[in-house]
Amino acid sequence: MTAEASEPLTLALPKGRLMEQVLQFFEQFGFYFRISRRSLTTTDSQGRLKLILVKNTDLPVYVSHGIAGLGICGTDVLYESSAEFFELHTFAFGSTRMCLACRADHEPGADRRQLAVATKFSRFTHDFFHARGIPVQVIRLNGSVELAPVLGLAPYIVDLVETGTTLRANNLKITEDLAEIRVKLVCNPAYYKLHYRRVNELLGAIQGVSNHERA
Amino acid sequence: MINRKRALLQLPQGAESFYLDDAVRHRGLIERIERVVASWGYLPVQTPVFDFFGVYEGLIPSRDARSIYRLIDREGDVLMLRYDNTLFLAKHMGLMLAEADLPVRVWYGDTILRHQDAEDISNDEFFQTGIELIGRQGLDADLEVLVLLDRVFRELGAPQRVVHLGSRALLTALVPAEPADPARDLRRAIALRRHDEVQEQCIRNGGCLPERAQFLAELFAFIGTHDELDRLLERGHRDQLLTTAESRELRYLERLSTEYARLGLQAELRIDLSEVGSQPYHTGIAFNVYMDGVGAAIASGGRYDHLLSHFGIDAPAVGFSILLRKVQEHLTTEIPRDEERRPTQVTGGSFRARLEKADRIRAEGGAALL
Repeated sequence: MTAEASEPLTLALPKGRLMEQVLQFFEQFGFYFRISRRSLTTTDSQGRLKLILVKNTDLPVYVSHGIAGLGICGTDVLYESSAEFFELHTFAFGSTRMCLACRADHEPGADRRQLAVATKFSRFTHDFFHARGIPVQVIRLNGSVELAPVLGLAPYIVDLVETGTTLRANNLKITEDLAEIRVKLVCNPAYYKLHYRRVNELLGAIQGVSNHERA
Repeated sequence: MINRKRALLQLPQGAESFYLDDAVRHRGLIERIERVVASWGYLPVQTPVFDFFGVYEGLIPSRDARSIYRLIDREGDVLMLRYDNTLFLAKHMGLMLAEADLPVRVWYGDTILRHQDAEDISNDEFFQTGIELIGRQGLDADLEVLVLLDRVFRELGAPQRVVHLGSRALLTALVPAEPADPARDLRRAIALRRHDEVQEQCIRNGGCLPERAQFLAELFAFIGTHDELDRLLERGHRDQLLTTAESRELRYLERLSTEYARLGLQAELRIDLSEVGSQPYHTGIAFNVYMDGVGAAIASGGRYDHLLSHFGIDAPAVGFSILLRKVQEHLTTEIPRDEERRPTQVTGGSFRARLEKADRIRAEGGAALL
């Protein structure tokens, strides 16, 4: 008996700006969704794909548990998760930078013995600096990371930077670009194995639009 | 240090308990598995709860090693709790068996203990039950294991499952595994279906030219039927992109899938060349079973022809293990619990009279409470 069911594929999507970009992208190959303000799930007009709207950082958990078979999120979130997924596609939109930043008047190099860094991305920060042989003390925060150097919690932060406006508004400067963050389509491995034909069809449509945009 | 209240209210990560109806169902399922495998001539075995870590160290992938609970005994030796039945079984079978004993068929069902990340329940594994056919090579032995797995799941009632069959031998034909497992990175890239990385690794570790590396990356991503694989292989042979050893392993998989299809089994079998086995000791076929609604494989298995040689006897082996706790809630089999097993309360008279009455009920197959 085959497991290729007729139910829609499931895709976890983070609420917020990325969701808007993804919905616009999906419209280009005929997937239309109506999302009311409070709804947390919705299915496209033809019943092919069900979206599950989740908090960005929770997305890998939902996909790892198989609650959603597919997910779209940034490599920053994927890196922090301990789960392993099939990475099926990298989108052209939504990319950003993971940066090391400090107060504009801070002298880099003065504190190289051990770096104190406030960040939401503790695993990335540990791995990045340990790979360079630099000891790092990571102070884990869940938001408003820019406050840490301003209020003296830590001289450095590691955070996502798009335009740099927030940094400048808080009198901070980028010391170094650490990594490029991309938006990926990921899949729970068991889910892929069960539904690989339909997932590949969806992937083909996504790649078609991506190639068209590039051309 | 965990405080007393928290310690009282929760179990450590990686531990689990189940009681009452849940335990009845679990034991009922184990009994059914035992009934099936015993009818195929498999004998029960019990592995130790802990053993010396050093004996197994080289056979455990580094990613798994981090999840193993270790302790130090009174002599200062490092011990490990049973994190996988196959390894512990290999040592004890390896030490116990002689050539004359082969083939040997065994089955096990036991708890396993390993740390698990709180966020990643896809790796939940608390109880493994499985079989091993030791001392047999070839198509019939591989088929026996696949068919028995199908029969077990049919008995348990596992709907909409598929078997994904691949081959470690195909990978070994490309990059020899011994002695230091240089194919580890390639194996991981294949299993995670990272096409570009597979291609790069084929060039770096397999010494392939770019055109062959590209073809192999496509090959290792293949999932499909015998006929679909045939079409891919035609191109590989026409363009001379496959070695004789690789072709032999692929033909073997095709033969196995053809024979499997002829047997009219319940589960669909797909050839999936990204299934290359997760353990360093895998050698021949490798497979996983997936089921709708479960976020990870519900059973896995394969061939490990040289594992026992680490422990005394060089005997081939093939087997599977089912992660029963992962699949238990999805099984359709009804396990009788209430009516048939509900004990009768015996009342009235002396203790001796009640005991005699209760024994009569029990002799008739019922249950009685004094």
